[in-house]
Amino acid sequence: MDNSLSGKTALVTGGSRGIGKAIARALYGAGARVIIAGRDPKSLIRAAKEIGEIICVPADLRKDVKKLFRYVDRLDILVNNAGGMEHFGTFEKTPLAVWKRSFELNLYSAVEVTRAALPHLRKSRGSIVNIASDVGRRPFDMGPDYCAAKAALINLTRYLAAELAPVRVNAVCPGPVVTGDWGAPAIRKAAARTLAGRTGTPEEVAQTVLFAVKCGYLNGAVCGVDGGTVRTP
Amino acid sequence: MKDKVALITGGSRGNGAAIARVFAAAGYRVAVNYRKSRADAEAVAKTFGGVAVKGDVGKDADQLVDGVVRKLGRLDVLVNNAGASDRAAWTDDLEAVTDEMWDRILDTDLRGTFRCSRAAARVMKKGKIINVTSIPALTGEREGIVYSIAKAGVLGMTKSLAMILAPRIQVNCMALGSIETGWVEWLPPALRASYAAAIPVGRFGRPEEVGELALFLAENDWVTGQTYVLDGGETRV
Repeated sequence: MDNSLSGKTALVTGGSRGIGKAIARALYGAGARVIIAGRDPKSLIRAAKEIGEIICVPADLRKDVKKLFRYVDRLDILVNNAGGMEHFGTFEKTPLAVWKRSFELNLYSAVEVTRAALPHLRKSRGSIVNIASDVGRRPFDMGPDYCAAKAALINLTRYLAAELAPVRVNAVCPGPVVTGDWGAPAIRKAAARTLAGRTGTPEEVAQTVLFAVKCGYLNGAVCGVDGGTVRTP
Repeated sequence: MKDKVALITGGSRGNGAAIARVFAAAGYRVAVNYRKSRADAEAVAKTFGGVAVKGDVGKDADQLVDGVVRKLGRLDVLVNNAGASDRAAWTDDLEAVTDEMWDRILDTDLRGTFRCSRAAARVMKKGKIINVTSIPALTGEREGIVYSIAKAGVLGMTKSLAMILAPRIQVNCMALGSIETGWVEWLPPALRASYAAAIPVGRFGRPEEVGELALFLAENDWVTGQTYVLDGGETRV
């Protein structure tokens, strides 16, 4: 068994479901002590039952960051995975309130968690992985607010890679990974956009995160794991 | 997994030798390619029970790849690491760029990468091609213009090959920053220190870290057409 992260503590936001859960499982599998945060207590408990002895903290990152960090005593690895797309519309059908909600969910939550984690990460010379998206690199029809929020998270990653050193900061940009109930037409469309001809698995994204955590010279990198959907920087 | 075969071009020293060692430690059977440095390549291969295989990637790519398949039975991963830059090519004087320099560097870094990839694509059932490019391909560099031209070519080739060879073969490249290999010796100590200070992590990279990246790219089936920058945060591009 991989024990390379033994003695390290990791926090995965949005860690109870989908990609976040796979990341938590991969870090746990590499020997890390893992804390997951999520909005829904039931899915947190379900994730813990599946993964093993991990610490679950119910938290909505738009208001509970302080509360969350009462449960964090030390930290080597922060994975800002929480986020999501709650609205799906064209620019003309995306009012400012939706933009603000998207940025709160996908950018400001990562900003606040990073700020709270920083004293721990500086002490441990740890690392941060921000889960962005292929659409943050090259936008297509996922709604302008979501694409722009993920692009902002990528830019923030590059910015922080210089300012927070020696804490390393990298982004992982997944392509289409089916985690909820997408429906067959949406899955076919997403798969067709890839070179691989298929959507990805949460484990393939988690493997990328694990690499970003472990490789000590990777910093400010934007790691695409998207079946070849986006090939530009 | 345990019988998979990896061919590392330019494997006799530096990044290539480190990549070979990392793959061998992960259970791959490894072919260490060399052009001239036979003793070095054999010494690298000997540490993990691999084989050293001779060949100039710009000229003998087909024979090289076929030879590996003949010796080891298959090919799963090709790492196009061979490069021909030298100290003379590390210059900002345009008048010092000769046709000989141009041909030599592009022959190995660019034509060699293409020919090895094409030969590998013929014999691989499924597999991975991992190319080596460099920060100057992305940002430009005052010194080493021919090098930056060759490596920019590798960048474009990677993406095109990823499209042509999908979904059978994943093709990616590693854009390397300042790694502790032979070229570091060309730097005067003061310049070397100022280079390191400009890197957020405060140091040059280790060849083993290049090996880690190559191994990751060899083992993830959904990463293709990508450029992974490994530079300690130097460029943030």
